[in-house]
Amino acid sequence: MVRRRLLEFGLLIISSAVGFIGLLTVDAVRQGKFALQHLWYPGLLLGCFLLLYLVKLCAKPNSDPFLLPMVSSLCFLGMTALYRLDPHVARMQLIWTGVGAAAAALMLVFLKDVSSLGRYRYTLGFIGILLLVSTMVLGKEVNGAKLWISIGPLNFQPSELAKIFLTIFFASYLAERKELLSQVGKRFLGVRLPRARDLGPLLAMWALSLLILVYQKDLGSSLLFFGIFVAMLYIATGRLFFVMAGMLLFLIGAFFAYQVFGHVKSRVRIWLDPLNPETVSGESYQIAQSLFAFAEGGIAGKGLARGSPRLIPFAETDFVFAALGEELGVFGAVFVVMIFLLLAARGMHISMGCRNDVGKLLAAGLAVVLFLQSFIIMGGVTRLVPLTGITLPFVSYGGSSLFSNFLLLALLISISREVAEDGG
Amino acid sequence: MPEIVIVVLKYLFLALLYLFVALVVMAVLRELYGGRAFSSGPGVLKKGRGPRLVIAKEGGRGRKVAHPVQGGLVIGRAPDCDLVLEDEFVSNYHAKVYLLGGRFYVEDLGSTNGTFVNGRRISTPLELRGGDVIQVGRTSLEFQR
Repeated sequence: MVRRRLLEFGLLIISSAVGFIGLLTVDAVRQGKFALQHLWYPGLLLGCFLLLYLVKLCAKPNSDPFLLPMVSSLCFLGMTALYRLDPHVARMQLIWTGVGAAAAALMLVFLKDVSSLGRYRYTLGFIGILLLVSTMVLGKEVNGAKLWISIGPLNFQPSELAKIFLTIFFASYLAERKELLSQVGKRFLGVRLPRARDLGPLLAMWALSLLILVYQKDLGSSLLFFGIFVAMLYIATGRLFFVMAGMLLFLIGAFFAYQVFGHVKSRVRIWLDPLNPETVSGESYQIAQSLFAFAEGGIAGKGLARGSPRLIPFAETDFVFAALGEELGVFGAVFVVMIFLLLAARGMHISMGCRNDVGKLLAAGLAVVLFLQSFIIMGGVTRLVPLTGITLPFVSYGGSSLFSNFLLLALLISISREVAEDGG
Repeated sequence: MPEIVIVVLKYLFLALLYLFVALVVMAVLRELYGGRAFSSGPGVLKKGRGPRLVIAKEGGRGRKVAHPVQGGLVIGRAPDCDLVLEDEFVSNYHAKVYLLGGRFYVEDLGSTNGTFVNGRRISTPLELRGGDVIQVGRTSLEFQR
């Protein structure tokens, strides 16, 4: 066990070196000299992660040694990108990282048994739905999507927190129902259909995600929530039918949304033809600038502080991946993709080793959250899928996003501890 | 600031990113396939060592026989099973134990009476740990490694 903890510490230090070198490079390019006084940015971030490491060491000594360093590498990379864009945003991000890390630390200390969360499943599910619905009613519309709620000076994005609550709800609900749901009904064309009433949860979730799409105009969350549910349904029951039915329902929903709602139609149009002279300086400006940024970056990138990511709208949040692509090139972009794949794989590994059904499904669900969310936004800014505004976990600037993703990290670490301890 | 310093820093930054990924991947692989898994491979199996299933009770009768697992085995009543049990409550092909990525798993093969690990019926493949008791029919098998 000591070796694993030393390994974790070593990886953490190496990941922080990325932040220190990055900051030195940015200052060297901008000011022509090494500005050592700015090294407190990565220094503070390293402090946050070392504190979290110590809490984890005491509270969950046998937990997974890879999750924390991988997350810290993303945070250091994100902080470098934000410092390069706007030091003020980087400072705000540091504060939010501190808040998120503190929340994760509290969760590691006080959450003894993840499956006990299952007892509050209906409460958590209800809060999750409430958070989602609240934006439909109270939310203010920013950039064509109602995602934000303002309480005084604080803006926050409830769907980020809702995704954690709903994943916990799905996990405990499906753990209880999986035998029922995987019972077989009639056969049709060689496919074993589930009984009609077992389709209920799938249809309910479909309706909810359509509601998000229509009222919130938020394609990203809609796809994310439906995707999480279908993936977890498949993991719980092992029935490919649910995946096929889910995809079919999604296609039907997407088709009608495309026919009926103008904003969906325009999203698809700018996805297919972003460089159209009529829209390139208007509604497809963002995606076009993002594509130009990647093209400028090439293989190794233009070098930190040598590109012009300020041209990309929302370079700090949704388009941070494009800003990285311009200055770090394909190498930098592939690094981010690899870390998210490794994180998702690690989550699945934790899920496979977990003995209780709730923990097993929750770990798998959280891995799917990370995978889907990073896929939706990275695919969006590279024009693989229609663009939808959603944050790149741990890299993008955003308080609610960082906070929720640190909770996600703490949950995965807690489940991995249960894996290590009940086996011996 | 000379240009060469900036260029060196740029590639140092990228090199650090990939050093980090390489170290993570190597450590993950070592954890998955290294250590115990190599020493318990079929080639180095010694008598009485390595992963094995110890039959604690067969068909209700007390009996203690160790059976090496090696790369995996099929448990059942049919004569071509790797571990043939004389227990009328065991299906012909009842369950299988297999090795995947350095870990052992047990999976029920659609048996009539089900497969239990430590008293709980399994519906999906379950990872085995030392000391787990697999129950098929009236037979108990203890997994040791």
